Amino acid sequence: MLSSLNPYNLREVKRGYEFTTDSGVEYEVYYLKSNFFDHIPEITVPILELQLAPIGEIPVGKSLLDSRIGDTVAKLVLDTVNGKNDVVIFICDCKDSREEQRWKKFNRWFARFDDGDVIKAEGMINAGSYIVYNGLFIHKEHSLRALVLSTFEELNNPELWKSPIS
Amino acid sequence: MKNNTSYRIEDHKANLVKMVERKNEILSQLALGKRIDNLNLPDVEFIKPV
Repeated sequence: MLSSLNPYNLREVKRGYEFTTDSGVEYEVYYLKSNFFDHIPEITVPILELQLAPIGEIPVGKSLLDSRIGDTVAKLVLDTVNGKNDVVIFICDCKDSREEQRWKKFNRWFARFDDGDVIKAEGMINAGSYIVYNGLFIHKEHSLRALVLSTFEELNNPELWKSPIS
Repeated sequence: MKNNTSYRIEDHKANLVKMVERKNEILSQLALGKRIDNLNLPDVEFIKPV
């Protein structure tokens, strides 16, 4: 439930938000206009790609095991989706082969915050040289819920990814 | 197709590659200590929900 979250306060910047953890690590969290459904003309609503990143290198000894980071991200996403129009998508970055760990952490953040109003869908695309873990959040009363969810599932169908990306 | 959408899978693959490359590029720049407001990314559209 949203009320059980203990998020950090977000500071608004021009392109997104920042927050500082108790251990002094600064993060930026922001949305990009997503390309995920660009080729699906029937999906006409905003698709926001969530991104989260620390600013600079994390100092040695600073703990990353901070549940409030997850609370902060979860609250932002749930607040966004609860507006009932925006759809949020998340893909794990895969430049260092740690995408599976990131994906597990991401899912832990949201596993305990199911308020019944937001649907979370999950997918995994084996793109050959890397695996793209991806998730999607949509309000249960969203006007395009059925289309967005079925298309998301379809685009994650392993059958589509048997031929390598050229 | 299970629904009535029409698209080419090649388009989806191209979009996905673009998303992954864009994300990796942004993260690389942030790792250098830059902030998103200072990134030079003319093709990237940031969105702040109201």
